[in-house]
Amino acid sequence: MKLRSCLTLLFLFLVTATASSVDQDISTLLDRSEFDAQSVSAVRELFSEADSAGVPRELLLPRLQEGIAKGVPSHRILNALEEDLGTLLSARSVMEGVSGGRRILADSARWARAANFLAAGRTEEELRQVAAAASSRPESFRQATVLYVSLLEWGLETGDVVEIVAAAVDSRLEPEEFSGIPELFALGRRQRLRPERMVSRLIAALPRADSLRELRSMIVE
Amino acid sequence: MTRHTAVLGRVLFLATLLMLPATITALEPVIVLGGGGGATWFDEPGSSAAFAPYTELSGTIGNRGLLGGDGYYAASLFGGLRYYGGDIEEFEDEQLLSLELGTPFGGLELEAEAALSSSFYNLARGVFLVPEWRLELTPDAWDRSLTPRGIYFGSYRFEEEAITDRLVQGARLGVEAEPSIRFAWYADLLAAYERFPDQEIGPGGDVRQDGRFSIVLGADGLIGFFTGWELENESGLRLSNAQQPDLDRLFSELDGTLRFSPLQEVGLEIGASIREEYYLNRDALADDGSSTGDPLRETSFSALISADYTPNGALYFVLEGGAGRSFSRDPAFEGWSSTLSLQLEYSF
Repeated sequence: MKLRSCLTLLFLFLVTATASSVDQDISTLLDRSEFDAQSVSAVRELFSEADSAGVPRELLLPRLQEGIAKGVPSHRILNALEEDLGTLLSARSVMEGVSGGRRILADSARWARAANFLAAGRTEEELRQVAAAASSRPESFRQATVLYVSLLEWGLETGDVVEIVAAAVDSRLEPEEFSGIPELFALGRRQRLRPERMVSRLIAALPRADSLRELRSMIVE
Repeated sequence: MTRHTAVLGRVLFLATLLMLPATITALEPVIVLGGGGGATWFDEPGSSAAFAPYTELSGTIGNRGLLGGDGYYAASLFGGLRYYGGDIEEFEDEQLLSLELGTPFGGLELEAEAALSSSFYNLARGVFLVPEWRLELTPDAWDRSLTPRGIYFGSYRFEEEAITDRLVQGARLGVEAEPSIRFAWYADLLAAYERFPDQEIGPGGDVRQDGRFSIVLGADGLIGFFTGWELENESGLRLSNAQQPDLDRLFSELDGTLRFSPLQEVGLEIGASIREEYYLNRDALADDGSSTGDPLRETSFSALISADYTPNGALYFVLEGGAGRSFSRDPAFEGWSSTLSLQLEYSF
């Protein structure tokens, strides 16, 4: 019981320390900036709005840092921050509608990744599909989105890509190994294997492979 | 064959079958038909430069499957027929059968490969048959850290119209590692015995026998998502019992490949190779056959570039160009060749 209390106190201390560190960073940044008083107030208001919406401040901080470092005018930084906040809220809304989505959002880096996915022009429906595919292994969410985007941009159909992402997440491959899957399509292409046949081979072999190397041997080499 | 060896053979065959996983899942097959044409230019020692346009037809059928556990098998058959016009005006055929098996084997991972290259009418060699085989053993549970591996390989080259028949038996022992998903490397020590049954080296009927001892270093990797590369160097020593001429030499060869497919529709592959041979006890000869006094050296370069486009993942337009050149102070070791071709391929 004593240990639990100690751990709780330690956790609260760390959370408070992190939050105050972010607050300190924001204050330092605004002090160093050439923003007028009205802009400083608007930025602080936007961060308060993020607090009220339950969006961690550290997810907005990089944009402020980048904008000030590059000397971007304050109104453009504010617009960008508002867009970021909107995208983060949209991403949360989508993820909350997916079974297991909250587990993905539990890590703020994954939440930021989901927002970046939308900001890069992907639709909410696509995010929903990738989140659903990755829900059984939340720690693989970032790599799942990378795999999704790379295969889609290479030219595969959305349905096939979602199926591959889900099979990769459910496989024994380490998430870092997902980034090697697109090259298998390039290797299959060299053997003139039609993309749909390659998809079918992958779906059949992914549940059995312990590693990317094994997967490659099974289906193309 | 005695009765005992026949029984032993059957027992081993059955034991192998029992060790193989029982379930087999066939994967989607690949069937490709191709046709096209091109031209080749070459100037080889002992012949004048020649130009030969050609047309060809080819077909490939391949099948892969998954065995129980994490095993797999693969089989493919390629056949091609080419007609040379220009200075040659002849047909040439080519076949390649290859088989592959990967399976857990007593706590290890076994990869077995066998291939048979053949031609019933090859312009330079007449009938030729080249069976090859290879076995590789690695630990079954590979965690990408530094891992030992062992490879046994062999081949037999039979050529009807040349005296380059050759039996090769060799082994490689080494290590491999994959520090990241984007980079892997290996290093092997290689030793091979080669026997040339057509090349008698003396009146006693002895035939040429060589030993090849080398270090093989290789690496491969991934740049981005759709660009792969491979690099391999083999450097070593070849010792031969042939004395007239003396064939002992040092050699080093570097091969590299870069593959790039930025979009499903487009593919590009570039390969290049450089080889250096330095004879230990043999002088380069001049045109008139007299010694130049310099040790014989031969440097060869070759490069191949292949670009293809597919509008639908089934029909491919393939443009290939290649060139090779050998340099030496001995004119008998100098030559060049180049080729350019355009192919249409259809994948069913």
